[in-house]
Amino acid sequence: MTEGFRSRSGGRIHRGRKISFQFNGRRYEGFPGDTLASALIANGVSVVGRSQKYHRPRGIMSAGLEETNAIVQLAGNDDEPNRAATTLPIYDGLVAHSVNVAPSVDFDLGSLLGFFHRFIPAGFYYKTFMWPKDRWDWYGGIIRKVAGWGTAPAKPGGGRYEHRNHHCDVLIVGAGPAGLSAALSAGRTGSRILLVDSDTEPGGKLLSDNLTIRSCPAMEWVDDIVAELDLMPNIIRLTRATATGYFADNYVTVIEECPDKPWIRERLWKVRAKQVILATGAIERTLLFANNDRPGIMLASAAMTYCSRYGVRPGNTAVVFTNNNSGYRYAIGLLKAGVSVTALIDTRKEADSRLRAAAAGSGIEVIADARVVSATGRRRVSAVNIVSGNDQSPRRIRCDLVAVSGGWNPAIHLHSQSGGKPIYNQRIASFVPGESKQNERSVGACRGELTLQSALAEGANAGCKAAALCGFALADIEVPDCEHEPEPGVDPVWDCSQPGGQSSAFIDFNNDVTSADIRLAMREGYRSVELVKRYTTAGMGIDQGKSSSVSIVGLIAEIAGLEPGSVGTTTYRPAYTPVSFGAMAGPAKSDLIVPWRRTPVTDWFLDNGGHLDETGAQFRRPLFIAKADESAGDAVQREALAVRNQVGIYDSTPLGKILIQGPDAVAFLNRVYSNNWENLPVGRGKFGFMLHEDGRLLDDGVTMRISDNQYWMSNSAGMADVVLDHLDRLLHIHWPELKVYLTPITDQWAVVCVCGPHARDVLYEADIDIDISGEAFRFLDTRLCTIGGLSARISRVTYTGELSFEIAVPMRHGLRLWNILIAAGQKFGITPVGSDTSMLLRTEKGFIAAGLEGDGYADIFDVGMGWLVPKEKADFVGKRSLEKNRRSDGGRPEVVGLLPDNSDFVPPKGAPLVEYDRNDEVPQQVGMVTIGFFSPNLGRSIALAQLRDGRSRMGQSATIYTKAGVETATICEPVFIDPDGERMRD
Amino acid sequence: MTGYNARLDAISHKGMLDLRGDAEAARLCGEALACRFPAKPNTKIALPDHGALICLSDDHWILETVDGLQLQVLEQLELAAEAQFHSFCDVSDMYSHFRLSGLEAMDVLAQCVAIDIHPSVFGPGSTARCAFADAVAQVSCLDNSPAFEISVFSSFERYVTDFLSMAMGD
Amino acid sequence: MIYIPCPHCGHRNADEFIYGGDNDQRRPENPEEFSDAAWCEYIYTVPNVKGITREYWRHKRGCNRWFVIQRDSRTDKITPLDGKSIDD
Repeated sequence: MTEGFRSRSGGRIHRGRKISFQFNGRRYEGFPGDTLASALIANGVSVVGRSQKYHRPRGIMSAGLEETNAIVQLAGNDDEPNRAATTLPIYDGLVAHSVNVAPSVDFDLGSLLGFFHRFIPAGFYYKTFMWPKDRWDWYGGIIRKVAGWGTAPAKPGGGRYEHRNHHCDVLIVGAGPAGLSAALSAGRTGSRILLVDSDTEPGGKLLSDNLTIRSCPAMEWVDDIVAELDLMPNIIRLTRATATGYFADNYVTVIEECPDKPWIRERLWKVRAKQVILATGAIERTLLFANNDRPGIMLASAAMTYCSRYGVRPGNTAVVFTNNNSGYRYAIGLLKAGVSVTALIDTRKEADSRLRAAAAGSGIEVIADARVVSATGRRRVSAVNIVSGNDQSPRRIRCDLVAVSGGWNPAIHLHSQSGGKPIYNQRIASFVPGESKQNERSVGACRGELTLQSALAEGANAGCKAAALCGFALADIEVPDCEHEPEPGVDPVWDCSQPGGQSSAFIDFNNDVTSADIRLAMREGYRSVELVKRYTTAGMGIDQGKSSSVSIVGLIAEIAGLEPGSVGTTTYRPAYTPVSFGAMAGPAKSDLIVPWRRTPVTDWFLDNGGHLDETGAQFRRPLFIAKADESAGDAVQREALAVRNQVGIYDSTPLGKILIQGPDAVAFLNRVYSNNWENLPVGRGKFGFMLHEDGRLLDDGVTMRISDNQYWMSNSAGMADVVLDHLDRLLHIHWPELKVYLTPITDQWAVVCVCGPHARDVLYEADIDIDISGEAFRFLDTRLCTIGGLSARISRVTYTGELSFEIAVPMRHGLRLWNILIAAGQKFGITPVGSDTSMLLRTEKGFIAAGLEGDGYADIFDVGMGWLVPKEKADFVGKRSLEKNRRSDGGRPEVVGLLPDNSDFVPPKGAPLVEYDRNDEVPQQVGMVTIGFFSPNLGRSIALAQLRDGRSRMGQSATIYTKAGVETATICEPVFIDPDGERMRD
Repeated sequence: MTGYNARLDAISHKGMLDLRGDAEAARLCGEALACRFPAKPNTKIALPDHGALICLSDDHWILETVDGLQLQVLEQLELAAEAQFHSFCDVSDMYSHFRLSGLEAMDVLAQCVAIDIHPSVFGPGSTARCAFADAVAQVSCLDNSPAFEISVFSSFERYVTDFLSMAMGD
Repeated sequence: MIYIPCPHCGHRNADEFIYGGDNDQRRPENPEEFSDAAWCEYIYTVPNVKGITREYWRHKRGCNRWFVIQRDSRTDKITPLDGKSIDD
């Protein structure tokens, strides 16, 4: 271990330039093309992290996204937890450190757990921390500290995270031999293709396995294909792009790191594909023996990858441990890379004869029918103990690298996410895709066809087929000759550790789960793989079982004496690899996350002290318009006084507006409103209440007849969308025979309301061209007019109970109209008012708000609007339910007014009205305050409330329960000002 | 440099009419305007003089004309369809219009809409009403440069402007 | 995100639509002839079929029209009403 680990030549790294980076506080150097893992190996770093529960030293285990040990935290500007060092290309200035170590990877306090305690068995938390019940929080805090994986970044991530939608004919996931072959044949048909691959360059296993195609190094074929693909305008090819989720109707999410734009950090592609080809390859699995987690023990394919792709030797003296033919190829590969391979231990009696001969010819000692039972060494493996045949006395072989090949698990995750049910395949002792539930097909290794020749052939065929299904003509399928790979011929051994021995044969490195834990769980009665998984947490770590799940199934099957197929797999769910929160959130921030709507006056409010808030239908309106240094409460009081005594101006644009047009408009209105709509003259409006079919209040408002068969309906701002859905649904679904069209016109009209005793004066001052005297233009009249040179519709409707006019102009003129009216109103003291003030004013008048006084239970009679339900009226929506509800006996929540005995006490919205039972101990709720204000016009507090049978309790006292204590109030009619409505009809 | 090669321009108001009616009403209006009302939803045709006609569904069209002419056209159509059940209405102020253009305009638009905007299916003349970020828009392809027209409800104008600016990478 | 075939606009993402309930729940023409119990059944009992269901959707962020689709509530697979395949 003294000589350098980097080979002098070879690999896909670029030795011309050095990259400097930091790991755990020390500075190292690597080359472009290195991952953090390969660079660390090159620098002789063995221990890269500590395990989660026992804090055992861990080394690099794999060379891909199944890595469970080399999990690092990026620091500095790139602050990000839980990145796998094996898939992280190094760059200048990279600063990373191990997660889960305290205080350092070399001396870890947590590892004392491993010395002083026996291993923490499966279900330990469930069993141990159950008592006392209320101490879980306390235990939890400590466990979290011990179990931590990285830390959340302190600042928002630098760079941009983008979301983009994409459509294609064929999405191909994976650019290994199968994926490239598929892309070529599908691409030649002209179909639109998206080819994504999570690696930094295409090729898949060809990048490291030193295979040949057309008798040349396979990467030459890859380069040719990629060159051809990149010339095709119909292909988009992404690198470092991982398909993370496969959802309904071929909707696939792809996370692309470092896309073509340097200012974009990650891009989330939301892909809708007509056909999907999965060419995601296979993941090698490890074998279980005692201390199989020691640094220096890694997957054989990974050891090969480090040698051939990165030009680093992961050790000097290797033992290869295999249960299939792949181990032979890798043993020879390691040898060629300058690693001394002292033994190849094969669990099988027989191997592929050609491979066996080749290994023997290379001078490698092949020990058949043998298994590694344990490894020794702590911070680095120093030897393995093997038993062979019937000879159970262990033999010790010294080494600093153990390359393990336990067979291959097809990456069936996306197939499983798409709804497919994996099935067990005896030939490869693993799971392969089942029947397709969506328009997808798996090809090559991820279908269990593990040889190069199968990958190339299957890819080409699938590409052609998928394109044809999208309507593209079949292309000639071209399958290149290649080196013939033998089938793995795997021997399904799941646990080589000696029974009864120390339970340190790890099955899930990430969560520190051993084969003993699985055995324990099964002794305790767990049989289902889903339950064993949850009880032991096996397969639930950062790699989400990529390295372990099939071995877990195999082990359960072995213990239970079942076929792995009948044990089944756990369900694979998105995401396939960890997804950053930035990628999920996307680029939209603050106001762009949830849109809000503006009126032409919104900016004026922002410039003039308006305090904006959401007030329904995504509009933001001012609650009040405060003068400098004025409090919210003072502003509302001032505005409310101005409306009653001078004149106020209010932006009514957000009110919903629907144009109802057609010969059956009256019939329609009759069916959706509780009152009668016959004989409404043109130029007149009427107040109406709309009910849900179950009798609840839906909305109230004024509808005006503006021509023979045109009606203009106003809705509460917050209810506009709901009402339109409701009406449109009735019309389209239930009454298609009615000749009525609904056109939402909210965004066509800016509406300004002028209200108060001087309202008329202001409009005359603004040069209105029609007579708006009380005789010529009555309450609920509507007319076309010109005001301040603008064509407008003026209507007399009110929400404040004052003399009130609503003026509607085309949206583009809204601000102009507002300014004209403000200017004209100066001499009358015109005051802009907000919606809080409006709420106060309507409370003084006892006008009902459908969302406050009318909750999910109150009906139209309860809110005192029973006069809007004519006795003789035919069916309307809600009528039948009203009849039913009215027959039930009393106890209705009826709307009343409240005059608090303490006239300074403002009953808070939602405060319960209570009655005390005989013992005066337990208050019973009999009602609720729906709104309360201090009324500046009355000089006292007032409130509206729902009260059980309230209408029969006028003059009685009510008790209001608040946090601060109990207050009393006199129950009164729900109207405090101008009970006969003389002002609004003036 | 950060940001895509794209530019966003506001387009001034157009005269716009919302037309509801059955095939017969559409035929009568077509006669009046010397054109055939398109019957396929999400198609757009140019009108003989100026302006365009967009089909939204089998009884719903949007007519675009020069701002100022809409009431005149409305009157003409009201007269033509008098005998037929219909609902015509001036909606010129309901929409705000933008033009998104530049070599990378598609990269920007793909962040806002989920429909397929590839030139092979959404070439010049194509139009669609669809979700636009969290609002709704009428999106049309103007030419292959490429350039798109985006019409949104006026109360969402600022939101859409800000969203597009963000998507452009400003 | 399921892909819903709007009869006017073609396939669109589900977030452009709102769900409108079961197609078999038509508003009765004669509510007054219903007993209270029968009326409550109509108002409050939602069929919630497991399997093939016909239901209303509105293409709210598109053509804004209501239409009926046939969907398998177990798989979200949408099949045409007339037995023919739904064109993209």
